Parts: sequence; C-alpha cells; structure tokens
Amino acid sequence: MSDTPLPSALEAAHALDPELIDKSRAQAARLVAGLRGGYKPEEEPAHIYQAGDSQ
Amino acid sequence: MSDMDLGYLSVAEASIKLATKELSPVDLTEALLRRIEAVDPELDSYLLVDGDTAMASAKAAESAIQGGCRMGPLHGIPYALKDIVGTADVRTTCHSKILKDNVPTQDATVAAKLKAAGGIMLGKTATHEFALGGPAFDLPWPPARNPWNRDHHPGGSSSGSGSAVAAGLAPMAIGTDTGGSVRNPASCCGIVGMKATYGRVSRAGVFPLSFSLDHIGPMTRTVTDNALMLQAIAGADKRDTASANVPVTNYTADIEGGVKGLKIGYLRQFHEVDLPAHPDMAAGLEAAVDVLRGEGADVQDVGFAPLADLAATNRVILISEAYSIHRDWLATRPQDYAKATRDRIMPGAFFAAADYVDALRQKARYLAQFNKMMGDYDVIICASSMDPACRIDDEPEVDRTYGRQARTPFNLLGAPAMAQPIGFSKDGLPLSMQVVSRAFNEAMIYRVGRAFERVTEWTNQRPPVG
Repeated sequence: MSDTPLPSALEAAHALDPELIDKSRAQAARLVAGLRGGYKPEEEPAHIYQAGDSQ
Repeated sequence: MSDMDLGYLSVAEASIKLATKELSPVDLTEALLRRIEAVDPELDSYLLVDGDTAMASAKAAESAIQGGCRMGPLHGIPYALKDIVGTADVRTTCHSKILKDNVPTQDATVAAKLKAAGGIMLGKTATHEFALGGPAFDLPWPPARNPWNRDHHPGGSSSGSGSAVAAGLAPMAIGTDTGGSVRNPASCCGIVGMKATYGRVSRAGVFPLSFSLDHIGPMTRTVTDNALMLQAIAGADKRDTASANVPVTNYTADIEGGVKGLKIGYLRQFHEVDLPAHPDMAAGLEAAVDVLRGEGADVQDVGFAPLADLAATNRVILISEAYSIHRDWLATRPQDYAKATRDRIMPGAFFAAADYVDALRQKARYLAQFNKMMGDYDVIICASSMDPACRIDDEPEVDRTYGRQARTPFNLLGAPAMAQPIGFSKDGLPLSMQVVSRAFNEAMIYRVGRAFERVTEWTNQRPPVG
C-alpha cells in the first residue's frame, strides 16, 4: 500500500479488496505512461479554446 | 419452415416474406420465442424475454400489414436490445445488482426508433456489467456464451446481443461500443457489427460508460441487414447533445456497387507489428484482402500510430469518465459490483486532471492524422481481434486477450468501423476483420463489406446449437 492517504471514497472498496487500490494505481500509471505529453501551445486542439461571443 | 430456418432468416429475407404476406409477424415471433426457450438455456444470451409484449406487437404488425399499412423494411421484424438500453416499463439492469430492479419510464431513443419502425422487441440481452466488467460469474445473472463453442467467450460487452444473433435467437440486436463492445462480440460470434460515426446514433436513454467514446450499433448476421437496421436508428436527436445534425445517407442504395476501382488501405501494422496476431487470424486477414483485391480493389499497405498509444489514450478517457459516473456507488456499495468491474473502473480514481486533458489533446492529434490518411483511401481494412475467442472460464487468458484488439482507435477517432466474419480458426471459432472509413461514410463500409460477403460463404454458416 502506498504512503499516500486513502481518500474516504475508496475506503469501502479497499476494505473489500485490499489489493484493489495498489493494482488500480499501478494500472493508471501504466496507461499514463502511454500518453505522449509534451505539447506545444500552437498544437493545442482548437476545441479547448473555442470562445463564445462574450470573450 | 422449421423454427430453426425461421430463426436464421435474414432481416432482408424476412422483410420480403412479410411484405408479400408469405410469412406473418406472429408466426415469425412465435418461432423465435420457442427457439429462445429451447436454445437459450445453453447460451444465457437473454436476461429478460418479454414474450407477451412481443406477441402483442406481432399481432398489431400483422393487422397493419394485412390492412396494407406496412411501415417499412423492419415492420414485423423481431429484435433484441442490450440491457443497458432503457426501455419504458421493462426492466433495464445493466446486468448489475445495483440496477436489478430498475424500470425506466421512457424508452431510449434507439428503442423508440425501432418501435416506430414496426420492430418487435423480444427482450433484453446480457452484457458485461455496465458495458465494462466481464465476463463475470459473481453477478445476479450468468455471462452469455459463444454459440460456436459454449465453453468460449462470446466477446463483450454486448455479449448477449452477439450470441443471440449468431444463434438465430434474433435476426438483429442493438449493442453499444465504447472500446469495441459491438465489434468484439460480432468478431467472436461470427456476425456483423457496426459502430457508426460518433453522433450518428443517439445515446439518449442508454446508460453511459464514457460520453466522449460511447456509440450505439446494429448487430446482424449480414451486411445488408446491418445497413437496414442502421437506417432505422440513425439521425439527429435533441436528447443527445453529441448527436450529429448531418443528413442520413441511404445505406443500401449503393451496397451492391462492388469494390472495383476503390482504394483500400491495409493496416497490417496493427496485427503484424504492434500486436502480432494468432496465425489463423493473420492468415484469415491475408485471405480476406486477397478476396477484395480479386474483386478489383486497389489495396495498398498503410501505416498509422502504434496501437499501444492509441489504446492508452482511449483508456485514460474511458476510465476517467466511467469513474466519474460510478464513484458514488463505488464508495457506498462496492460489494454490489463484479470484481472485474471494480478492477476496470477503479484506476479512474488515480488519474490527474492533466492526464485526462493530455489524452484529449492526443485524441485531437490522432484525428488530424487519421483524416489526412483517409483523404487517400475509400476504406481501411485491419484486424478486429488478434485472437479467436478464448475459453470463458480461463481468467488469465481472458485478461491476456482483453487488450489484444484494434477496435479502440476508432472509438477515439469517432470513425465508423464494422467487424465482419472472414472465416474460422482451425478450432472452428470465427475470425473477423474491420472495415473502417471517414466520418459519416458508413455507406462505403457497407458497400465494401457486402462485396466481400457476396463472394464468400462465411455469413451463411450456422453454429452447432439447437
């Protein structure tokens, strides 16, 4: 189990399956490692910055 | 005709027989209900069979057709719905203890559209819990089985829809597809499954898994049947904010047009480099491409981003969104989920917001790359699953093969993608390919799929049940 405090929302699941939290944390880390990251500002997808008329 | 022959009538064949009054909707529905009663105890493809309502609908369809009021090609045709599709006054459980008594008050748009087309709902089909966790043996209902070998996985998450259609227990069914859940059971069960363009079919009233990636799709035994079903369910819908306000194409107008002169990209990189496929699957894909080449298509190899990167991007988005939907229940009643569901959703608790944003950025970049590639081709052919269906009770093998597939990229890209049968493994299990195209070009996919189907015999095979 990691030293990171367990959020209260996960306590019941952890009590049910003590391996679940560590397995889930590791799986999340594996998936994030598959993301390339390192984006340049000019490569940002336009939809994130689409502004309405008021802006 | 015997119940078995009626069970294996295609939608198109049944439609002609109903139009000419050679067959009555009542006889067809009764035959299918008898067949479900006889065969489904071996397959567990249905969670609920609504025989009384089906017969009432069949009698109404018969009266209307006899009176000269035929509503269209699906009038009088039975169908099944994956049990995450909401149905007014009919239990909709998501195959979960959490919603075991859930009875919606309103039909999902896709259910309402099939009803309006004159279809006859037979019942609700098994799914992986909430379209994600399965196959699971710790839920109130068992998982569906593969009709080609009931010891094997039927694929998921639209397991029951795939199993029921393949076994002749419904001529057509609805599945949903967020990471491949229409195309996986279609591939494992040897039928045709289409994930249409994102926004093409309304998701309103269907229990969400991941709003950025969720799609609804038709599952049938033939390509033409699939086109007929998509025709009935496609279209804009104010109840789904992601619904596309794009005119619906006539999906059967050019379906017999053949592939002569079409440009087809063959994405062999997915199954040769990224995730080397089972030899039977690899050989099946080569043979399928040779068939298309023999029919006059110009087939060229093409490359794309690595599957592992595409899959990771899909999973970060999918699991983040799924966790946001399920976190309250996971906090208060985790014991009511299958272990497999908890295992697949819980990583969502450990992504940073920046991870999710990174995945959305990556998605946009892949989409630009895909659209550029599709400027050169009418369709892309690639693998669906890398392996024939594994044994359903072999948990390590289920886990090993779960990610060995090339379907998630097209959820990420929102592109239309269809799985269709291309033969059988040496062990007698179905093999499949995907036909993919640019957004809203489903008609081209059907044309290519139909050209392949017309000169092969794979869709005419029947599994060894009932």
